[in-house]
Amino acid sequence: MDEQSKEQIVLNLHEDIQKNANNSPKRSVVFMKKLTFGAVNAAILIILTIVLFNEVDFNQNTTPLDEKRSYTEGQQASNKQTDTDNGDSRDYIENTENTEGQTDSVPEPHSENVLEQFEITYWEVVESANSDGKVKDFDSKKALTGHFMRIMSPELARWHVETYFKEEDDGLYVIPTDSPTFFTEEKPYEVEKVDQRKYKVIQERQNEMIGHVKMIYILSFKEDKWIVEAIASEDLEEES
Amino acid sequence: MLEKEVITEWFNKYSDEVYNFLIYYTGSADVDDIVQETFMKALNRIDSFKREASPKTWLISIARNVAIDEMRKREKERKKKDKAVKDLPLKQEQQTPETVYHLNETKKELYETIQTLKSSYRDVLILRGIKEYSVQETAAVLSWSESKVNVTFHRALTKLQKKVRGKSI
Repeated sequence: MDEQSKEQIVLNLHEDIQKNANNSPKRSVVFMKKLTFGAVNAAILIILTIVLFNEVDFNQNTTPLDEKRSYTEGQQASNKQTDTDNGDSRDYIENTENTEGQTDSVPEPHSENVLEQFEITYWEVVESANSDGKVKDFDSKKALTGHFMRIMSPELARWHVETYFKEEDDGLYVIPTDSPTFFTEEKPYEVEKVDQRKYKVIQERQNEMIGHVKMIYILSFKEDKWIVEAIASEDLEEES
Repeated sequence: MLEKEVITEWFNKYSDEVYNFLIYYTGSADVDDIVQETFMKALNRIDSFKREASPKTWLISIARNVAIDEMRKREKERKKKDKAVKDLPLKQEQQTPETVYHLNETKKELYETIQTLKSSYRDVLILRGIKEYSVQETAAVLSWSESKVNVTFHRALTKLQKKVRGKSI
């Protein structure tokens, strides 16, 4: 950017600051009005709360209602939190935490979130490696397998570690090869319920590395959370 | 006055960074107004700036939002006009990042391909790939988690590679 433009912008900024400084008495009056209005509203709310509380206290049948309400409030609080999260992968944990007193009911998986978390878990480790491919936070296959088991079954975790990492005397290294075929929300997919604790996410993929295949991601509910149990692929080359 | 000193210091330190980012982000060198708007908005919101955050990433995130608004406005205006943009007489030769930074053919092709990707891929490629911001800085600018930056960057690179390979066949 040329010096003339820069000087002009700085002048404009200083002008703006001066303008705001001149208007500041007005701003403080508005602020006081808002503060007073807020205080009055708060006082009304407190009075109403006291009045309502006293009314409820006289009612002998409040105990069962209170229990029901607290469950509902807990549910609403959980729903609100899910609504305000921006598609965060915590969604899939939120549902599992909200099973208080309902151990038999298994929440449906947020498939995209589970599979995204699966991908993130893998990439975090690969990204942490230095230019020689040495992994930063894990120095053995066993340690990394344990880490992967947070989102994968033991078998799937072991498979990923064996396929994409090698253990040397001085630590764990990434094997320079193509990455796994991760789920992508950009392509169409189907979700199939196998049973309450198992779902399949099916997606057709095609590229020069894997050819034309149907990817099947199997999600299962283990230890109060959804994980990726297994991944299978079916060749569609002959069919096409 | 403290605000004046702070904003002047930030402008002296970071205006070039903001300017360069905006050229890549908007695909045009005509960004002086957006630079000014960025620092004006920063001035108005200076009370909300968290001291532990980096002024650079804060300013770039404001610049990005201002640029998005500006690009939407320009698009609306273009659609309103009856004639196509190419028929309108140009006041001067339109400068683009390619001409400003004298990009060679390979870089030019890469940059043009990046511009065809979806916005989240474009954002992360410009910040991580072209501007070489760290994962933490990129996450701060885009208000993403660091994990999301990593995953999206990898997906964006894969998409970019496919598009570039597709062009070269």
